[in-house]
Amino acid sequence: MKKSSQNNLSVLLIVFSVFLIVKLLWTVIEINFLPIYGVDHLDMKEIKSLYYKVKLANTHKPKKVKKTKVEKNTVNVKDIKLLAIYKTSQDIIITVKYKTKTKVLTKGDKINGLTLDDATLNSAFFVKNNQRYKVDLVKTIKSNTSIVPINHNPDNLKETKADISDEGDYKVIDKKVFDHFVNNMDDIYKNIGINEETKGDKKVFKISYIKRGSVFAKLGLKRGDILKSVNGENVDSYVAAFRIYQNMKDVDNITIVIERNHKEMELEYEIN
Amino acid sequence: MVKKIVVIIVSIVLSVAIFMPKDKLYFLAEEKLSSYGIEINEKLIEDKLFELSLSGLSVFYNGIKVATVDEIHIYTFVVYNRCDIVGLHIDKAIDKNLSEDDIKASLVYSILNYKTANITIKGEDIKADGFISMEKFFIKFDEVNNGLKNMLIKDKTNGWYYEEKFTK
Repeated sequence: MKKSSQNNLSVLLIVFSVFLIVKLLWTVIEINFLPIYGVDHLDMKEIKSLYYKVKLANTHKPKKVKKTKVEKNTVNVKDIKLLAIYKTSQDIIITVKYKTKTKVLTKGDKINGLTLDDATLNSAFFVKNNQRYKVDLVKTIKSNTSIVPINHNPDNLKETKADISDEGDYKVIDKKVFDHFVNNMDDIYKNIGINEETKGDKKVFKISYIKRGSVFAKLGLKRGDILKSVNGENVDSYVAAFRIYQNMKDVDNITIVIERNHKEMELEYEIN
Repeated sequence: MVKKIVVIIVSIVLSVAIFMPKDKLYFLAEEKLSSYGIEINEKLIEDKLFELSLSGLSVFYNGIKVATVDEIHIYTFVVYNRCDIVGLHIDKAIDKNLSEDDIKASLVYSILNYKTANITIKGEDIKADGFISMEKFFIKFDEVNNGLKNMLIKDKTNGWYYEEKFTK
């Protein structure tokens, strides 16, 4: 009986010792050879339209410009009209119209005694005397500017029935048509051919074929055009092209830079 | 004496499996994969007693999102290791025909068959099994959808299959 219990004890000791040794070994390996963090894919900044805050085509009837203050205060911000916002993780750039002049402000700049502090997608925040003031983005643009709101009443739609409508400086792409091509890559290649070519030491993507009457032809693209960038993202590799395609789902505006006859051109589109 | 040897072996196997820093080893695997352009993002990592559970995974190749995986369960028993992949969805842009499938795959490595790791794949219209060794990767399809057939080879003995030999 005593021998048996001694045996059991020795087995337990062996098990305990092995566990201890192995734990120690793993700890040494963990400290010396294994990484503490994994490797995560960091998304490149999402493809954003360059002028995404200036809504070119307005689907609604012009509304009265609304400017609200965050807190009750005495400072008058009604003279400041927020026309556009460009915001990244590092920069805040806004365009405002103050009285009759248009000004571009970055964070810290002052206007009418108000200092630009922060901005969201739809509003800019100013600070004065430790009080915070909010100015909303102007949602309507007067017709005497170069940007003309589009009348999207049902009659007008019946008249046009177009996938792409030309509005002069830019084209408006029907959202359904756009979504269809975003979700069906095969259909893109049925309408447009893009070849990779080497130009000097760089790779370029050249349009080799465009189906007549197709959406891509209506976009203003032509055979021989070299795609330089889409929404600021250079098209210099298949990976870049594919990434741009994958990030197209949520964009409202597209700016395509092409090279045609040795000249760079910018094509503007709005998804609506 | 024999009893003691058995106890020692069992203890070693168990303790290695239990105390294995599974999450850190997974991070090491992520590092190695990233050198081949493969990056995996996961929402949750759970280091369990005998299992490493990963969920909400996105797989990127050269910066392109190629697939999402609902869950991966990695079981490590030293002499028997298994990796279950549940809910593998290939990105629609990569392969439209495969994208809607909910594919389950499992990779088994056992000391009894130490030269190869066995693979089984099951999807709505995919059923395949094969192996990966130091020499080649071979997978034979019992059921295969049309979208995948473009990538496969067919012959009388194997039917539809995919094979890739590794050069040394």
